Amino acid sequence: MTLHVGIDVGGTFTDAVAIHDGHAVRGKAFSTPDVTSGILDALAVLEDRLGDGGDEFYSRIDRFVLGNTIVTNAVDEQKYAGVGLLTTQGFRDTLRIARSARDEERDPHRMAPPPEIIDRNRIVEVAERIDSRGEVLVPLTAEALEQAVRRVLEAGAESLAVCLLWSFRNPQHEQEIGKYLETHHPDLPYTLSSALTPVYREYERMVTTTLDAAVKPIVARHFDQLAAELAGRGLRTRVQIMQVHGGFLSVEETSKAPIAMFNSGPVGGVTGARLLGQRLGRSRVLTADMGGTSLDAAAIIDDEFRVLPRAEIGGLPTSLTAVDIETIGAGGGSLAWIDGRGVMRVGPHSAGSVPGPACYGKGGERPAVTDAALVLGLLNPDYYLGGTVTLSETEARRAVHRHLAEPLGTDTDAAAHGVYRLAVSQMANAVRKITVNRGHDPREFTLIGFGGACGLFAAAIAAEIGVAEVVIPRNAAVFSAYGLMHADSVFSAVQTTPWTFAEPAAQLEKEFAALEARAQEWFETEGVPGERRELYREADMKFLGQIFEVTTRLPSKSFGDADKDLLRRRFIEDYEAEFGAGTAWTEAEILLVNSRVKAIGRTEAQQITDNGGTDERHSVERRDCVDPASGQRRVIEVHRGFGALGKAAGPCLLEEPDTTVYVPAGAVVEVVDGGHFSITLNAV
Amino acid sequence: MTTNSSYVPAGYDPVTLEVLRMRLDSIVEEMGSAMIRSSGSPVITESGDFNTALFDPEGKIYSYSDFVQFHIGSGSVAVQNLVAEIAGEPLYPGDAFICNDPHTAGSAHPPDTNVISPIFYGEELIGWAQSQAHLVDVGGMTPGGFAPGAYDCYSEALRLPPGVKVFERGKPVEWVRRVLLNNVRVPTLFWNDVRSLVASNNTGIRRLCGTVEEFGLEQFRDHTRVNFEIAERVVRERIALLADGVYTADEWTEHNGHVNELYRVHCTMTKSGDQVTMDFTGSSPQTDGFINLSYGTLIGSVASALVPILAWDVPFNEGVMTACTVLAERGSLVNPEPPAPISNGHLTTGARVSRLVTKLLNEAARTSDSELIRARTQGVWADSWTGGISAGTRDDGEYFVLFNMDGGGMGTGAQPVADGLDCGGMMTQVNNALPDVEMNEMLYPVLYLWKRLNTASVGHGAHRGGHGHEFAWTLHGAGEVTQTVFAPNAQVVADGFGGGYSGGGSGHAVWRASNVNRLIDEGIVPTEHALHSADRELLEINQQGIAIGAEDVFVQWVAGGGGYGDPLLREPALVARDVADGYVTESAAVDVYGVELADGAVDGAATERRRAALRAERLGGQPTRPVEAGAKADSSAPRRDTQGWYCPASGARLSTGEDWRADVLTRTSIAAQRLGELGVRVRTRESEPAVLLEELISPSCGTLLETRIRVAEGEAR
Repeated sequence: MTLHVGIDVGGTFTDAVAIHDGHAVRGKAFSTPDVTSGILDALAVLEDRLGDGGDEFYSRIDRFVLGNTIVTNAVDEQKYAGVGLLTTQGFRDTLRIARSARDEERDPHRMAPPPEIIDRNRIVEVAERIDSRGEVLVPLTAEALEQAVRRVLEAGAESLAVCLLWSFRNPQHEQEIGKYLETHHPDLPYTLSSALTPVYREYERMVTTTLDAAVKPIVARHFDQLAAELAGRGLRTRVQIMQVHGGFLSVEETSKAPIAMFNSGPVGGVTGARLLGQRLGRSRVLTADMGGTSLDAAAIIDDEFRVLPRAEIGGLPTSLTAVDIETIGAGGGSLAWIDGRGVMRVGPHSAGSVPGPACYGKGGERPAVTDAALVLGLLNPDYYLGGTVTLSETEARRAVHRHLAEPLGTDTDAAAHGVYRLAVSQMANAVRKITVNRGHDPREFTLIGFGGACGLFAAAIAAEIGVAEVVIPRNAAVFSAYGLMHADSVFSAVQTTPWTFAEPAAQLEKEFAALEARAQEWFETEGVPGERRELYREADMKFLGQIFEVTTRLPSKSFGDADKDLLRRRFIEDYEAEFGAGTAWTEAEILLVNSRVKAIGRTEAQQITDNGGTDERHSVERRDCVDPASGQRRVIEVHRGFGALGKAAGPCLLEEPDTTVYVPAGAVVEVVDGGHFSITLNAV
Repeated sequence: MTTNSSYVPAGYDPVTLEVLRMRLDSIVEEMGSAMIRSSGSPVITESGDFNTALFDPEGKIYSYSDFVQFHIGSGSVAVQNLVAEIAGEPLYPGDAFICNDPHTAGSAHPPDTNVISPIFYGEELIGWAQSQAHLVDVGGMTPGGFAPGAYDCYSEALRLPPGVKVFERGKPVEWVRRVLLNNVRVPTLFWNDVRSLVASNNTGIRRLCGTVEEFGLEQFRDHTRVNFEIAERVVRERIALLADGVYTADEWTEHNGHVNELYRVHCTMTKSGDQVTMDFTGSSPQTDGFINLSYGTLIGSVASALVPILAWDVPFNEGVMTACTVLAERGSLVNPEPPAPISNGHLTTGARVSRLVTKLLNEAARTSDSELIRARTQGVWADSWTGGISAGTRDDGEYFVLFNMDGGGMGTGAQPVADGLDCGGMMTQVNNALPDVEMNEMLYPVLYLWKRLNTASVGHGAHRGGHGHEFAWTLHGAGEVTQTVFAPNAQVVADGFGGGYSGGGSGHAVWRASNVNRLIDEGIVPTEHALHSADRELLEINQQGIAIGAEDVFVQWVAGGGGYGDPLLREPALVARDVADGYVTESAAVDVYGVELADGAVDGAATERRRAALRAERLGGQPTRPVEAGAKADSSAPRRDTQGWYCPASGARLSTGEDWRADVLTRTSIAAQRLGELGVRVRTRESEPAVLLEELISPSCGTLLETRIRVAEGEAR
């Protein structure tokens, strides 16, 4: 008997899934501004469906995983705590200079400084200086420390970020400030950059540290409230929180560095896709997660997704690592419009959930991608999200006609078809980017598409980039939460420690050993059983003179002088895998910049026998619609309860409670692995 | 939304056109990413000083990446001159040509090295892939390729004309490689960067061929042609909305590397119907210093300003530039011939060209009937690039060259809708980036003492110009370096618009024999106030061979953007916030903006009185017409109706003539002195001709209508 619960807090809905001895049960509730109530509402639905009375349900939960948007919301809405910042004297303007905030925007009206996290009067300079070798040039005096803390508190700081130059080399001054705060202001939440993210480049480190301190009080309040509510209901197991790097951490660890929760939402889907790929025996998987406002694409190769340094959060570069996800503003709610040239464009502006696409009938007047799909006849107005929302075809047609067809001088069908094609083309460019730009051939991949609207577009995207197989999970909500529940528990410790091959191996070994000691400590506190522990060593390296590093993985064993050759060889292999054969600068010296230890507590995968979808009988109707492949009107078959049929040739549509799948002519769709839809393109 | 379907010709599917356009844009972006990821040069990876583009067989731009905009012109000239040069010579798939000569191959300056590869579809040449990057060294008299001391182009660098094949059928041409590497200081780095330029082109070729395969050659050609036409028509329609007329303006390049003279950049813009002609006749003759601007970069500098002003939302292709003709005399500063040296023309004279185009389009846009077009007026950008190059030997014996990319921290011009962007860089620098302090300290033996916004750089106005920045370093790990500096925007600073003031200038100083090391030894942070020095030596605008020693402090300050609108129209709450943030001093708040604060908050009544008093002070008497409450930032710029010119802020009539400026109150002063009174730092010009500031004031309402920098005529060369 096991009971695992996964919760995925989204912008509109909070989805809860319980897996009870291999059976999935779903609960859905509206998300609430305090997040906690939405979670409790969704849990109440689960409790109800599982038929338990009293506090049985909570006390029986073995595992509780939460994908939380509290940090994402704070960043998106720029609602931060009144954070203060202490920085090295002379460098108060670092966040404002922002390494030049000029991006690719060509219109000077739209050139703007990065979003402000902090009021300038709460940025206070501290008299101290450490140099690039980590040597203290100007010691931090007790007087200077006290004075700076007093000033920043007088300016109204509710939490404190501390980011001094070169603190990742020598954390002494930051740690002294930390100690002082612990003693004199024990209730003040604070973040030291040397503890959160000890890597070079002060701008990113400062952004990350400031963001972290800015959300700390908000996250603390939320977790305290949630923990009290859950404990009061009898939950005994620890709550685990999904992180942006693709693993999860305990509430306690999460509270130390809450910023790492940012945008962990899409990670659940990527993890789900990784598991599904594994089960289907596909070693190269592309994911396309199409939501209301954006499409997130990621590549999984040999069972691993790529993690990238310098993740962007709310338009700001940070020094966090995150799952390498390419995001573009093309989703179901993306608006179609006519630009200055009289040419149609789609996105990046979105109708959002309020007012939403015109067809929601909630006052939206501008045509969105969903409106176009409805006009084309690809969506059933009475069966959207399983019939929970009724769509107005009249409103959709009016919007497409008025804002697109009329100015373009074309008919409504053609305009709607144009929206579809442009959306596909943009999404295909994004998906292609995640493969070609990373040195892979998209034709070797299987595309797994999920998220509300993806089923309508996945096959068309695949056709455009040459992918031969598409898999659409039958039940997207279960899919993400399932992924969430099966993510691994991940901890990583990194240190910037320049090292060259001319130096003794022992020096590098010392760094790795210290990082591993921290990882072991984490295994203990998290209670990861011995057989599920995995440790990796990674080295970020580059040829001397280059700016960006390439990460190479090493076995977790003592590094001696005899291993230098292996390290050099592996780095060159990894480098050429990334940039192409023959590109390595074989003449140049190699510099190791960061050493990192990654600790993984593996999660045991649970087989689900029941996907939790509605078990309908197969039925088929014939519908007049515009075939997106040709742009011509034709009658095509629309299947419900397709699981019972099992296989069909395109063109056809599959209508499921969570999604609608479009299968183009020439493709074949069949049910695989207990309920997912696999589309093979060019099958005939 | 207006009905503007007319841009897409009948018979063409706008969706297919757009799908193709997006595809081409994604290809040049992918080329850029291939270059960044394989390059070793911080100039490429950190500062985005490169471009990638696809051209048609004749050298028209299919698509251009979101990086430095100069190369719209320099890349075009490079491809066009290559096509002409190699006509009739054998050409194969896998060939690649290298060039860098500004005179013959359009390059902005010699380090900007182009690799151009033919794109074959089957047997047929369907276009060119072009990748260009600033390489760290290309030989010549100074490391890094900027040569303030050069008298001719032969001493500046190895000069590669159009038609030098560096790869043939996918293989390096060995003898060419040997010649190249024998002439540069860092041959390994140089060749690696050439490889990454080739890799970028290969990416472009592969993807373009795939695209042609998909669309079919005929449709590809036809649709790219139509996409040119669509872009052209949009820009032409906008040009048609500018007021017809002949407009002239001047800018001045300061100091040619040898002497601190002012060199005129002159343009006559004739706007008629949907066509503009920019005629640079009347600009100074070419000079024997490094400020001459290559013709290719003249085109690119015009494009750098024209695109954001008239085609801010139009995806770029050749069509955007078709409605604009550029004329320049051979042998002039803006179209020089050998042996003119040319290694800093783009960052000096080129930047002035972008400023000149901004000023001319401001004039033609201000009287447009279209609000959309009037809203394209703006404060002039600080546009220029402040150079600091240090070379020397570390204590551990290693030779280094610090080409400090902090030079790109100029403020942008204020906009009708917002303040200018702090540290935004030159107009041309799309995707500009500055280095981290830790980056420079890790790679070079310097210790930054501060790096902050230069509050003496902002052009005051109803909307402020963007800040430049300011920094100081002392040597840390080296005993002495040899320093090269250039501060091309020091005396003739960027104009504001419509009553906004000029921004401050750039410069460098060395604080000689300071107490910096003693302070550190005593545990004191060497701040500006704690530092004492024997002499704060102001460096020349262009100077090389400056010795900087261990006791010295090097200080560089960078220019800010021009303001927009009379400062007395600035929202008082914004001024209060600027004061709280330390961007504006309390005295400037009172004396320039007329805002009185009490405990940090705006005192409304006192502010009203103060502003009235300042208007009276401007006139030397009481105004006869009040300025309307809540007048917007753009309402101090004179506008024209059937009865003549008026000031929208008050409705006051200014003039019934052609030139309103003749009929209003003008106060003329020495620019450095007057702006200095306003807290804006401008270098005093110590020789003729004088640099003046004119303040033009509405005689009846006291509104500041315009301020402009003028060089005393007749005294300049």
